[in-house]
Amino acid sequence: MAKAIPLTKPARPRFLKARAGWPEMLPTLAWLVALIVVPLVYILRMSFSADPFALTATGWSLANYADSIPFYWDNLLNSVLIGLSATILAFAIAMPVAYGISFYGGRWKAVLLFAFFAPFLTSYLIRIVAWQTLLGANGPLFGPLQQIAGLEVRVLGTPFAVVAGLTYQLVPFVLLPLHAAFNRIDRTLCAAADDLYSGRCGGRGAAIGAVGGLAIGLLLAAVFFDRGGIFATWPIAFVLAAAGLGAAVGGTMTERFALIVFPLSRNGFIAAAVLSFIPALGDYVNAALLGDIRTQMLGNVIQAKFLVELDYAGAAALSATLLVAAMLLLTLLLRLIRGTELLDVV
Amino acid sequence: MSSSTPVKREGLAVRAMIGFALVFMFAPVLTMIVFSFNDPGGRFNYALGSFSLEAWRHPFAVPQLGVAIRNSLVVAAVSALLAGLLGTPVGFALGRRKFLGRGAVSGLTFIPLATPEVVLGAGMLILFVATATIPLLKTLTGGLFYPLGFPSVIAAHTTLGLSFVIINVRSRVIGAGVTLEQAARDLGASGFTVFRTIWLPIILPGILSGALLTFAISLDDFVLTNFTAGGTTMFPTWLYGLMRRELPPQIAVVGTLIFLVSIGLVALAAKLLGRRTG
Repeated sequence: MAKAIPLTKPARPRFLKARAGWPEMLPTLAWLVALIVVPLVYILRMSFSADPFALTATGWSLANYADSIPFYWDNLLNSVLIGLSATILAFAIAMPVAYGISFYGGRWKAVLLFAFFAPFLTSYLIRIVAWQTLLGANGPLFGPLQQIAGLEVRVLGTPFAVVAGLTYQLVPFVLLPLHAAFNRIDRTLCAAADDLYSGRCGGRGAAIGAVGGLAIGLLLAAVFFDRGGIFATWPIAFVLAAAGLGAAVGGTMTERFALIVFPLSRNGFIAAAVLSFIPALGDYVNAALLGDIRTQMLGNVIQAKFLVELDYAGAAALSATLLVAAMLLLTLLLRLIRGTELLDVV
Repeated sequence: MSSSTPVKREGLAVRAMIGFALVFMFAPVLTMIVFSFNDPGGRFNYALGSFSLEAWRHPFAVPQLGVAIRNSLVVAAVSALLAGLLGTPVGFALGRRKFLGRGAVSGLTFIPLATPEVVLGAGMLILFVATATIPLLKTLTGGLFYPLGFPSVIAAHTTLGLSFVIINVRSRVIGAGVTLEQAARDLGASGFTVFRTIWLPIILPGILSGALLTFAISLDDFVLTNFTAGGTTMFPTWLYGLMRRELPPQIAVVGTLIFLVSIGLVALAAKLLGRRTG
């Protein structure tokens, strides 16, 4: 098994020293400025507009923020908590999958990777309809339960259903950057680790896993169960189970993954986290179709204000809040991956 | 050797996780396919009734479903074409040369991926409204984008697709062909010859996969369409309205058809382009 490890670094990509080619790029850059930069700047401008129901920005005022953010605080909290839960669960699903495809996929690599993207070749809305069907009280999962055992399980209309639907949509956003990062790892390092008797993480891994599981369990319990009611019996069992699962995963995780693969694919993890959490923050269709009035996210308020109430300025203030949060995350991404080209991480 | 045991166990665990994840990913798809053969006996196709081929025999029996699908396909095709044309020069430049402002262009490409779609859609909506209410913009655009309709949806979907074309073309170009270009230039090849004989074969798969992705994203997208389609009957927004009143099994049939045709297209593209790594 042991192969010699090449001591030279892989060659950096070469670039031509030639003219930049601005004339060819000009139409595209103009397009991007007109349809991305201008609208986003205009949202910021509109959020300070003095007349809430005018269709164009007029005057200056802070009232839109002062009126809307305290009023829609619960929706903002939903966006962050539900978005974060779905992102974490998408990692829990996509991380082992990306690792498995990259390291154990063999000749099935391309087919397996495609299999995880194939479900997204239908239609966003039809996928959510399918989740409505699956989770419905009369659906294929819970319908028989009700008919046979007389148990009525209400999942549709709960935060759990929203998180499940959103997690499903986020899997590819996590899978792709992670798979790309894992693929770039020099396999001879793993062979070297095996030669040096790398094993499982054991006690230390279990301890770290338990703490992580506990934190994630607390977050999910806060989202799934009644807010503030974390300390009823059910949620306690849930949190303890999450901590136990974390300890089991941490303890049995190979040192190969924890000490080689994970640190070397750091940029992939950062990109995956940002690229999945940002769409999760802004999503509203899952909350509208799988949740109830108490799971409505900031996106639901924004789309209602823009498309139904025509309160452009108020909607712009909430959009600007989301936009600033997204741009802060993007800046954080840029800082953390410094030294790597931005487009190389996706 | 005993040291390989943890890795062997890891292989098993990881394969089990992949199996479990595949069930999660395909459960909704399977539900959709099963429910396309369902006769719910009511207006909403949410509970299994009896087996029926009725919806497959008349897939477009729901009023306006055909129009909605046709409009969505047209928008997807035009957006894919536009994104392919507009994205290629930028992806090419980003992969081939180092130039001042390269970081800024990369950043501009990345913004749509790092902005919540609802914000992007809202921004485009108020921009399109402004092209009708601000006199200067109105004369510049000739009122093309407002009232909302095909031009505004196509503009929105093209913008989303552009980033993917740029990223795909760039990743094809980066590190490839530079020495070939230098050799060809030393031998006196003109710029056009270099592009046609060296670069075009390298970037073409990138353009095609980027355009295909734009097509799929456009067909899939709900949020941008909801904000920029206005009264135009587009499949996702039309379905959203319909779902309040009824959910006929034909929707599952159309979803299954889109799924099968898309998989066929991707398989065809993969065959045409040959094996690609990365």
